Amino acid sequence: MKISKILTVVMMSLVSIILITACGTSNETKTSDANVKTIIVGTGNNYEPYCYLDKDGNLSGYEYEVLKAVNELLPQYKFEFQTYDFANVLISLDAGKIDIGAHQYESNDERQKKYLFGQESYTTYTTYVTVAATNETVHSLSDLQGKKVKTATGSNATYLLEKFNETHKDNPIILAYADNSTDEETVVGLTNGVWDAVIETKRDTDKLNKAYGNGQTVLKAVGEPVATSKTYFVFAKGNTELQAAVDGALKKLKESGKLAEISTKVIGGNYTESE
Amino acid sequence: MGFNSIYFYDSLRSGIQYLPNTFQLTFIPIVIALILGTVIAVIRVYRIPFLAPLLVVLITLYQGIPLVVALMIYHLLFIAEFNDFAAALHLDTSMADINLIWIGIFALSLQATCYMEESIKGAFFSVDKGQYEAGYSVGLTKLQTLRRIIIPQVIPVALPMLTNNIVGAIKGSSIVMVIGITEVLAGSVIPSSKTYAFFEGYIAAALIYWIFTILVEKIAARIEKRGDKYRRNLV
Amino acid sequence: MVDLFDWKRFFTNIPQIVAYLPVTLKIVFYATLFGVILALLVAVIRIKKIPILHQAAGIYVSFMRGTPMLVQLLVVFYGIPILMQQLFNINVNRWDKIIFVYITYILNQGAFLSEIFRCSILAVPTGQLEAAYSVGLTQFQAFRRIILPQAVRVAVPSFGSDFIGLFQNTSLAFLIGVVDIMGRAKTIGTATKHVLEAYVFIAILFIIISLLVKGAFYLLDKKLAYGR
Repeated sequence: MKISKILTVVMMSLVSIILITACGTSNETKTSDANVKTIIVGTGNNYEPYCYLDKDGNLSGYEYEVLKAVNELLPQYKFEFQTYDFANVLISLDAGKIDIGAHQYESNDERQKKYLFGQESYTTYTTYVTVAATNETVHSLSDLQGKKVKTATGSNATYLLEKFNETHKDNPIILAYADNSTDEETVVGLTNGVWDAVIETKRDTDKLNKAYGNGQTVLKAVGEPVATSKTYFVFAKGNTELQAAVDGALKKLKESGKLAEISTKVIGGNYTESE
Repeated sequence: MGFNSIYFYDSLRSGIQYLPNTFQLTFIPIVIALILGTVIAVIRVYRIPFLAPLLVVLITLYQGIPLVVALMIYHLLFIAEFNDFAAALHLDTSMADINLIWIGIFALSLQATCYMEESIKGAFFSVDKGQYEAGYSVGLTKLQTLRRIIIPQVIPVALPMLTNNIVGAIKGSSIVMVIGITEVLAGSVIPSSKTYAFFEGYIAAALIYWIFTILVEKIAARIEKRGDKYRRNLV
Repeated sequence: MVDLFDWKRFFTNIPQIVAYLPVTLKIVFYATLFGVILALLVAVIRIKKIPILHQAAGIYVSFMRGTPMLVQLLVVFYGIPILMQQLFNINVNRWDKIIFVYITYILNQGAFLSEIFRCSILAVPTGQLEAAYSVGLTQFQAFRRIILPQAVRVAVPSFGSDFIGLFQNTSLAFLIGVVDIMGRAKTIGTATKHVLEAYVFIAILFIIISLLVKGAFYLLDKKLAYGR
């Protein structure tokens, strides 16, 4: 079989797969009762304390609690929860399998081309450079030039670091992409010098210190915030009705103080409006 | 469901950048696995005392450990103990100088050895006992019989199953992204952190892997044809 | 030094993980049952070189072996509902997720096993087939009584490895939210912040499974060892 023949077959098979998935839309009308519409929420199951499985295997966490409270204010909908990993929540949203995506997603212009983000945020997400407690050389993002930072593909931290590298091409920050890695490896790696830093929120750093530090601080955040942003729920492009309803409910939750209450209970502090 | 071609091309370019890593993670373990696997298969077929049962137990046990778990354990052991280890041996290197890819290659080599050894052993079973006897009866030693008579008959039989193993190794190499080594699959998804266009990234990775696999399959088919000259095929 | 392993956590994890063992076993069961049937079909098609089907089978095997299982799962999970909607106007989007998982693994196993079967059938010397025809057996009888037992002996070691690999591969279903034992270990790891105990328990479980499977195949092998 000639090379051109092989390539034709490969391209045709892939093209047909792409065409089938791209041209299809699954507009679901999910109605069980006459008036109540079932809305499927897609969230993660591996990001404590936002979305995780408790010891009986049931979904718990911040995303679940907030959306439950939102559902109470929107009796015309019935929220059902399904779990996926970070990337697949978005792909499911695109494919029409779920209606709301909840995984501490942050917004930017490119992403808004593909998805509809909510207008109301529900958590703040301020990230810092985090290093081992014994590290005295790194104090800010620019100190990390030429050093190794551990990050995950698809995370917003990766996006921020790459943006930084675009303007510092002479001595960029070295990114070590580690997907599905564990917190233990992060902590042991940082303290033993395999990586120099990670980018995460102060509350995640506190979480790691509590879990692995045996009473001491093993990691510390240094310098100014790398980025101050907020997280939003994600909807399918064009689904403005659901977006408006959820936004309205979130606004009410913020005004009544219930959102702050949930935040303090589940993630240990009021991270809803500002750090 | 939308499919954005521009993001697809970005992912494709990004993924191809990391092909060298995937090659390293595929070819080095395969070569090691072929050599070790053949040696172990021969030991098991000839039932060499002490070594054969030991290896049977070791391989069965090791095949039970998922690659992800093994990788994580090696990784943790390495980063927790290396500094002490180097100090004890008075070596000058620190951990930051060692490329983590070798941990990945180590874990993948062990995994591939187990699988290839099983394929090669199965192929040995297809050779009739009479062949060994014929070899000894004309005065060849065990090693000579093995080299001149048995192995040429084993190779055409083993080849399709080894192709299976090699192809499995190509795709298995993507597992190393859990310890921070970037190869084709992770590389294709890197642009997605900006755009959240993950589907396009995964399809790009699939294309790269598929073309790589087709090349391997074509080469294997070529070798299979040459090997078939010396045996009469079934249909 | 960080506290990495603790026996108390190890034992509390066990019942939580074992609760999901049926999920893994079900996936392996369906994948093997239908996968073997599919693989035999594909292997025979490719040996006989039946026109059209032969090329289609070739592409199918190449795709299943050549693309990451992750992509295959995505294509099945997202693509099949859309396909069914366009072609037959049936909505399968609300099917239980695990059915898509079964389909993916059946297709995948079908491809890999078909290569093992094809190779082991071809390994039987042609003389055997000729001898069978010369005593008057039909093609099907010859296949069933003479070729198959000898082919099985060659296939068994690879099939055993593939089978054990299947157990470990079921962890992919976690990405679309179907939790099996590996997935449960990971979620316990993030929920309790300590993953090593769960992973070690999984490894022990899989080692036991590996020993059982290998033991069963060893007995099978002994039964089939004619004239050796």
